[in-house]
Amino acid sequence: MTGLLGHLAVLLALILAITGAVLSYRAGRQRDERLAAIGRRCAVGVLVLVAAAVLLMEVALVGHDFSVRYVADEGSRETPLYYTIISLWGALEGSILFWGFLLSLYTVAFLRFTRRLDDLMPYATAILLGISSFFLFVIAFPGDPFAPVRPVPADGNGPNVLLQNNPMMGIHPPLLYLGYVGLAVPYAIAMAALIRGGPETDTLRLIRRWSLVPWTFLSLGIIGGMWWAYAVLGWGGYWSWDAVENASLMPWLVTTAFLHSLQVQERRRMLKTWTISLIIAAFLFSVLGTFLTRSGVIASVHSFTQSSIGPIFLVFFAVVLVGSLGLVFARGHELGAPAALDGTICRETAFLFNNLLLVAITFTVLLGTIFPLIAEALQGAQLSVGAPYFNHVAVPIGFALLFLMGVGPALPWGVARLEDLQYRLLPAVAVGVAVVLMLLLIGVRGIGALVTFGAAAFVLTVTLGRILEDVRARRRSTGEGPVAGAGHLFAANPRRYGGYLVHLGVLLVVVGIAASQVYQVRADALLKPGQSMLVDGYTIRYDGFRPQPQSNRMVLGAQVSAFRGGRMLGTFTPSLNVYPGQAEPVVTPAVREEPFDLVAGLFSGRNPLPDLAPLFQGRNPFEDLYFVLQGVDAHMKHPATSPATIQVFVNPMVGFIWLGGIIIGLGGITALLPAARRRRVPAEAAQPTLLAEEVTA
Amino acid sequence: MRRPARSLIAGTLVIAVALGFLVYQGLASSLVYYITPSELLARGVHADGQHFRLGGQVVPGTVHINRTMKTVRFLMRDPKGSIHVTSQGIPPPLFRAGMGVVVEGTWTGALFRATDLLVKHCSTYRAPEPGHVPPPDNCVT
Repeated sequence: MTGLLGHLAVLLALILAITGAVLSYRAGRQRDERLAAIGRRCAVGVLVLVAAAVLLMEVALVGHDFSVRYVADEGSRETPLYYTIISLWGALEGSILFWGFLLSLYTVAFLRFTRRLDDLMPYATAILLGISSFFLFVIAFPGDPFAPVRPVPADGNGPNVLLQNNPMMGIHPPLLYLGYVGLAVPYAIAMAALIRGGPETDTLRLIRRWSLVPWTFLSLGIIGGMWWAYAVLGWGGYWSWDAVENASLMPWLVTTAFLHSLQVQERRRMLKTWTISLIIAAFLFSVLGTFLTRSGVIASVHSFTQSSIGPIFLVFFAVVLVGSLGLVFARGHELGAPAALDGTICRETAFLFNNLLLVAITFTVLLGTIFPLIAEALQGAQLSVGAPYFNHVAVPIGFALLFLMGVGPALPWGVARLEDLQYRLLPAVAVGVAVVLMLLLIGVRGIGALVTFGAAAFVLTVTLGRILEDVRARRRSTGEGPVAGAGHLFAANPRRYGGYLVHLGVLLVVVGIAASQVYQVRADALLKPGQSMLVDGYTIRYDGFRPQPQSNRMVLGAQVSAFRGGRMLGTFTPSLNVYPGQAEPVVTPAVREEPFDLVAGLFSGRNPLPDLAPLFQGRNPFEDLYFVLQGVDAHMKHPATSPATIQVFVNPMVGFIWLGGIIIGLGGITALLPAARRRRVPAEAAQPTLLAEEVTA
Repeated sequence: MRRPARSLIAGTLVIAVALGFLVYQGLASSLVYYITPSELLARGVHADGQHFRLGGQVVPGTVHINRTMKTVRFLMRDPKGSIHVTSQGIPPPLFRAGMGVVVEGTWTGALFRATDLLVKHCSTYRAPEPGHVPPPDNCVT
């Protein structure tokens, strides 16, 4: 019954979406406000129906209604309630239903919060409902999660065990989806502007707002996914350049390029067609990512035809690609006469190179991701492109981008004066060099990491210097105190300082990646209970083995204690989880995460000084200890005496990546805040030239 | 419309050339062909010293794990041939005779020296179709 109702809701939503799309398009053509209103009501109707379908699916999942196919495939009576609820996005059909739900949510939110641009809105509504129609069609027919199962099984297969190993599974996929799906909104606005034709007015401003939302979600989703991989997969790392990861990175890179080129567009009326093409490309990458990861095509070119969803997605992608490119070529020039860059050293040029580099990374990641598919389709050879390719290509480009992140904010718009550049850049270069020399002096080695730390110090100095310069200029012109001045300045221009905040977050991420990639130490040993191993200054003692039955699995945990300098750091329980009906156990690592462990210690009243002591011995105090139970020779009669193979990773500064992710998220939210109205400044105190340059950026 | 400055075109060209070089070098050094034991044997002497990713089944009764040297030795087979493999490191807990594995390393002409050993996972996001039976490659879901 639930299945039938769900299917009906999806079918009605599909009809409503198609109707709404057609009516909205006509409303745009005929400038008919009455039709446009009907189109908007259709969008609300679609949201209500799809929300009902999602709710029905949750009812079926929680109620173990195994007559519904998705529940029979992904649910089981043993699965804990939390993992049952989130298994909505654990597999293909459910995640497409979730996609459709988020898309209709975004559509209604977009219509609700955007009141201007009346001639544009009907077209954007039509595009969004058109995309909805495609997803609803997939949910209604080839990928129907509500399809009945006869005979009804007594129990379901249960979700993929990797997906029920960490509560983060309930958070990072929705964040990623909010990112992917949200890119449909700026895409729809861009396409609407092209369909309407004529010069754009404040379209790009609207696109910026609606692309910053998914960009922030995507950033959080990517970092959250890295954290999930780190905490669940048990290979000691957080990024392996696999197709699923690349699929989320590509739209992020392109949207990042867009957010930068948009500023050139707003300031100098340059790069219009390029800017609008970037946001269109971002949505295309999000569709491509969904196709790559959800159709099975990555496993093999030939496996994706086993399911009818793969080819349908491919057709959809082709239609979107051809339609978008066609419109850009046909109408792009109407956006306004493009102005050319004059090639002097100025902020525009920095942004241009930032764009070229971001697009270059995107292109190489795309090539590496689909190269095996092309090779298999053309040659029939199965091959893989390993992580070394991605590192080889992305690391140099990443360095160039890091460098630009320092130089860009120091450059003025228009033409740079040499004295300004010297004043802004030379101290920062000095700080960068000093940091490298100091690290060398205390014995830090590793060229890649040292260069990264030096570059990060350079970027940090430039960024903080710019903020300080702004605050000083404000104080000179208004006579406010430093704190109030800074507060007013930030409130007046959240976009600028949100951007700087994001840059600071990116610096933390980059430093964390460099340190953990270069300085990771790894060791493994077969230990009897009571025996210890030495790893990079840590003593790791294996204390014994303890099997622990849980409702859905058997957890075989190894007790491990870690010491440094005779001080106990804690006990950890890496484990192997054995699931019924599953021959192979799943690894769960145990991690001591710094600096979070330190902060947690502070809250529980622990003295932080011993934790920070390594700092004064020239050692990094922010090292994760990462334990994996690789295997155990279990003596069932005396489990406590079983020898076990323990693998230990010492991962320096991985926590900086997670902190950086949080700051990037905060920066994104800050940049979304509306600017406080500029307070009227007494005419005699104001320095109009400075304000114009510093505040309205 | 003015023409973009020459210095910009030059900069773009430099990036494009550097990128092409990086991509070529990166691909040349990290493309790994994925083959099975019988395909490797069929390549004969051409394959000596080459880097591959080799996938097949662990033949039961041939697994020797040396815990002090941290190596594992086993015979890997597909329906048409088999190859001796040694691998660095203690194998992952999922490893056992009879299952599908993928190793990455170099073929010496008589022995496959693997630097990496992966247990074969079924692709997570394959859409199941009614009546479709997954291939019997003994992978871990």
